[in-house]
Amino acid sequence: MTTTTIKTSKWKYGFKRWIIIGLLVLAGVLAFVGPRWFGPFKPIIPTVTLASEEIWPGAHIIPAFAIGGFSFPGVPFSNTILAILLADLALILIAIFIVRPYVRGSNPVPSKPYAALEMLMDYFWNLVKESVGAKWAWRVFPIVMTIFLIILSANWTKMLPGYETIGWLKPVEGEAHVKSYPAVPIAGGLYALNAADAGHAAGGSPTYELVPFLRGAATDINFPASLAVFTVAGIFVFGVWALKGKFFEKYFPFQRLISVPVFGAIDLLVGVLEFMLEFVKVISLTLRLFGNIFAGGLILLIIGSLTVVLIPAGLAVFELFVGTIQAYVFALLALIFIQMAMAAHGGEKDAGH
Amino acid sequence: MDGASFIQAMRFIGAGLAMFGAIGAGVGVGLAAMGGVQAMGRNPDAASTIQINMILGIVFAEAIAIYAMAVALIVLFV
Repeated sequence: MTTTTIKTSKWKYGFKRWIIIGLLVLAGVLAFVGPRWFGPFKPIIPTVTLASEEIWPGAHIIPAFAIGGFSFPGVPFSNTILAILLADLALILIAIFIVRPYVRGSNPVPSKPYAALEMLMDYFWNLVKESVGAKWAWRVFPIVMTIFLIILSANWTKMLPGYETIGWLKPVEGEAHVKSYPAVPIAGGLYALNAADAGHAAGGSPTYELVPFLRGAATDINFPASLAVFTVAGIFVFGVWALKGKFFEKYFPFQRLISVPVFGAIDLLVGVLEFMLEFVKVISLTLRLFGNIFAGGLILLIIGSLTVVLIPAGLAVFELFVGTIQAYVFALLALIFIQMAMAAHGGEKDAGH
Repeated sequence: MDGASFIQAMRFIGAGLAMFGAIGAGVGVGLAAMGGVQAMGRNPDAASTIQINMILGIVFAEAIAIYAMAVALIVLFV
């Protein structure tokens, strides 16, 4: 028989939800009624750019230089690079403050976050073990888990406030299709872009567009592309590692060309096509992650500029879900491609799995 | 109508047309989910395996819509 105590609260519906409702009402008032009294708070429709931008005008990781006739444009320090560094930092902090106290410490009872992390690891470990077998699981698991964790970290840190909303102001000269707004000073050297009088700003006052300090790492095509190249390289490495020379016989079956000339020729043609398809995987892996995350961010910004309360919150939760699914799918596809590369060709039976 | 706004208008039309590619992907995702749910209903024990394969199928079908969207985004913003 357990005894349950019913906590009676002074507030009928709890205290925190009143704070939340208060914030919702405040946001609505500031956005819809506010423009008349406090201009800056009406959300602007952001400028959408596919390429990542510099975190500060002229910021470079590798500065531009020219040797003789060869000139190197330099590598700009873009806002997506800063975002991926923050995502890495989050993972490192988790390793130091959640995993390390249990692994190195004297306390044998794992903390709750550690247990959750271990459940995640365990799930992926079983997945890898089921598909490539216990012998290879130790070698494949780190790659799959790394891909999952870094994409998950990048996609979740992207949802923090401040991403794509705080940045420096870039003056817009040409009219073109770029959305630009006049800047309103709020405090010190801080300015807010004012959407309220965007329509009648054409009369001489300079207009600006926002270049954010931080932007979701996966909204830069270089991040998914590098992961995809890494994965496809993994396909070849594990294929050669597991099958040695037989790996390339899968694609170029010259032996069959001699034993059965006609079908051998067809097999060779199909094999060459399959070999090329391995490289197309880079494109499909890249575009899937990039497209989903970029479209998600775009929807959040555009819906967020139209309706301020409630709906963006629901979309943000959906965005977290999409980010998780994309990380899972990328890791799962990497696992399946590697497994397919390690499996021997259809005809002969592999005793391993 | 001047040239720049005509190009801009054609961009919007082109991006809209590019998204026709999402029709097939939508049907495909629906079919994959239908098959997966039916299979899980008949054989609940195999749900975890079916789920993984279902998600894979959905993702491959969805990729086509993502290609269409990439084309639309490039038409719009590049």
